[in-house]
Amino acid sequence: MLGKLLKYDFKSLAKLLVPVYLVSLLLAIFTRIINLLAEEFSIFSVPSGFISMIFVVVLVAIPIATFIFTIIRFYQNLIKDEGYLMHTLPVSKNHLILSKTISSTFFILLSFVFTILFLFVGVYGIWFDQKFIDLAFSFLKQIDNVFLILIFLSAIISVIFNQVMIYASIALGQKHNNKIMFSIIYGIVIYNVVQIISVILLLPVMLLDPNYQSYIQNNPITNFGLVNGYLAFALILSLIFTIICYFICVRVLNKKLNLE
Amino acid sequence: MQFVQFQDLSKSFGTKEILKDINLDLEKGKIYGLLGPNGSGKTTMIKIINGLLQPSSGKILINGCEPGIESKKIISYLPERTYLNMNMKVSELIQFFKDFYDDFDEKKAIKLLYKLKIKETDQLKNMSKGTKEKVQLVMVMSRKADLYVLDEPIGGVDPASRDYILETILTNFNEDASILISTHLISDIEKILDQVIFINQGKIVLNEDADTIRKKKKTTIDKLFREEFKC
Repeated sequence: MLGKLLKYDFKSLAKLLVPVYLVSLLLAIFTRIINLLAEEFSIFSVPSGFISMIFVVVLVAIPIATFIFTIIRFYQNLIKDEGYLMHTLPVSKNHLILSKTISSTFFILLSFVFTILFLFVGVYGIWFDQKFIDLAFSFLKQIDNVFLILIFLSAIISVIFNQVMIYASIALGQKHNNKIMFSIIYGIVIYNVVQIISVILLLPVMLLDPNYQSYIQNNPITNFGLVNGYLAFALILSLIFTIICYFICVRVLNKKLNLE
Repeated sequence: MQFVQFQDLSKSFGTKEILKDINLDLEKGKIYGLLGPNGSGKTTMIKIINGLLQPSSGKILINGCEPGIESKKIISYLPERTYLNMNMKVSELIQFFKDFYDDFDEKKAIKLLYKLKIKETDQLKNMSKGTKEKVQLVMVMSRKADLYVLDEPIGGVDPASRDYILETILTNFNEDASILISTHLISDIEKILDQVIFINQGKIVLNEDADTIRKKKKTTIDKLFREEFKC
């Protein structure tokens, strides 16, 4: 059944988001054209500055909009009227939430890819060129591979954690009459609890570790072994918080569903 | 055979008690009318059957098990509101029901929609509220379920449509299956009921065979309801 749920979740998110990406692509093409025109004709310099500003705002907004759309879709599909159908399907709550998590994470990661792609479509060769890319790659080559992999994994886990944390907040919030207000309250509480626990666990280790102290004071670039250790610890911690939030969400929707 | 069992079931929202110590058995092969004034607890009972609300105390058993995946396979539920994804076309909705319910009869659904002059290419968001309700009813009645739970199926439609809906219900359910219909529009449905359940302020106040009521009380169920729930 998970496959079938995924099919419908992907379809319904695509219906919402593909138009957003298409409009952004058109804006990228338009930005490119107007910037090229501005290079030739000075009359286009003012509109090109204005359009470029809008383009930058849109680029930043693409992942944010995607994130917001996935949360709205979760709320409408499982807590509002559509929930009457979704929660009476012969599928487990685990599959319902897993399908939402996978499809949303996919689209959020895709939105980052599109943001980079549209940046190239819009301003490659105008704001930056091959030299800049070569410079960026040569910088990345100097950095430890394990460090890069850990940063990449942390980014993915962070996307999943933010999704699942909000799902858990919505699941807890739906138990009350004012579902949206309580979802926000639970969101703030969970976020702060996670931050406090992370600090409590990480801070003493950092303060007491002599390696870390000498690392801060001496050579911050080359000692990747130490940084990687902390990154891996933080990554595992995020993973644990993600799993906890996921199970809170599944359990609450299983035992305390309240479609009043 | 007792198919649905409410055992000392109560449900509260905060301090307000909506259902009070409900004990009720529903058997297979009968049409039940769950009748009561607005706010009497009908919809809450129905949502508990479908696992959309949880009892505060007591329990409910469907085919011997608490509401879950197995009960959802055999219950076909029509809520009192539109629960469809408005971005879907009718054909996508049919595919959706086919994908998730093994007992969904696609041919029957297409035939019933054809009678309503609804095309498979029609978009749900462009339909009137009444048409959406009919599409929803067609989907629900195109399943070969063991229990059909219909919450106010004729509440929001005109009298002509009510006849269509009742005919659709009566001609499209398994003889072995049960139907639980909740409504306060009793005169429209009383002729089809086998068993009548009156609920008031969260309590079952009557649970009797429809013919027995008519013989014993020498009145229609509609009149009895009006007397019982006179303001």
